[in-house]
Amino acid sequence: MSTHILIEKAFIYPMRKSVNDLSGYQYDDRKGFWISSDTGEPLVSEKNRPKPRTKKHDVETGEDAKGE
Amino acid sequence: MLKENRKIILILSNKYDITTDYVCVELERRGRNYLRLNRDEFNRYRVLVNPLSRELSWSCGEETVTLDPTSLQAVYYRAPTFLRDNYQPDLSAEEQLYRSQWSAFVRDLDIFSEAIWMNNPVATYKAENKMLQLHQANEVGLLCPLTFISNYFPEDRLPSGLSDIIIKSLDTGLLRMQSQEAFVYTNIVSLEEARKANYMGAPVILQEHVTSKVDIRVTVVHNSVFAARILSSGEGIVGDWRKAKDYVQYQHFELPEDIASKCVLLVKKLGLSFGAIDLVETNNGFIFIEVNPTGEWAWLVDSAGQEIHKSICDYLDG
Repeated sequence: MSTHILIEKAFIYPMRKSVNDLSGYQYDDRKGFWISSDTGEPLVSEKNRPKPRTKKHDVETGEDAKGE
Repeated sequence: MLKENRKIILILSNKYDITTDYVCVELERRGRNYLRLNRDEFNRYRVLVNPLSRELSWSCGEETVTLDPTSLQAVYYRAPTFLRDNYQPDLSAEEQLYRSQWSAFVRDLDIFSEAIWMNNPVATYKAENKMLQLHQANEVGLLCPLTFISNYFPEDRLPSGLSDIIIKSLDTGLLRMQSQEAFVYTNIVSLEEARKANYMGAPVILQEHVTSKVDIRVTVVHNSVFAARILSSGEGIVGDWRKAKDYVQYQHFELPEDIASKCVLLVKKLGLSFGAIDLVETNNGFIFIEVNPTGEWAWLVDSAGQEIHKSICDYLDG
């Protein structure tokens, strides 16, 4: 019997283990967000940081870490 | 950040969820009282819940917080409602236990049901139901494509003259194949191939292929609506836009008022305060595809200039 259509059409990629590279930033426990080690500015306010992307741009696990 | 004697907005997330940072930075800017608990840091916390009096005490280092129904203003829930990676072979017993039991813990905070939730995991669980989504979307008056969920190819139920059809998974299609992972995207399949395909073993969604379309992402935050067209070189994308991910642009635009109202109504009918809706724009109008109760949105802040985090904070603020 042939393979199920969803398995036949599935996009295969290597399993990913790493999380985002946040070197140069530190997590502020009291504030609950990442800040620049140099400037103290929130990571999300920095112009040169990596931009957030839909997880559809990355390894797709369903949105909002549903694949966790 | 925490201040005494003020209502608290509780944020359940994980340390590396940068999307949550947008909300925390905005709450900090507004001087609001909030507490971010990271699911990947529970080993650092001491937590105690009394489900009868509905009190939660949390401490970390020198900081201690007690929450009860009178002090808890809102909950921003950035956690999965489904655990889909149980197939992973490398998880130790401790890791499996951590994941399953802490997942239950955060879900069970639904005991604080009077708080403002975005979204309540009970509602999210129900709203992930693709059949229910389509039914409710149709009920509120959104156009929906002809859709069947089946474990065979229902040719006798399809209109004549079709040349292809959409085949996709009923739930997130994340699979492990030997040492690799696989994801099931939306597939456009010719009718000839669809007739010969194997459907036994798992049901699929078979859906009318909407052509001449532009994909639209509609982010609904309570009564606020943010719409973006997903384009490549200024035009709509054939098939699943996720496959053209490196070449797409997101263009903010205003939805027609009646469509925006129906999107808001749909999200409310599903018991949600947040929903990321996928529509397609065609010559015949806007057609509903699906709603993601836990959809991502931070990418639209930068790429489409949509200040979704501010609307989320407005809602959590009451």
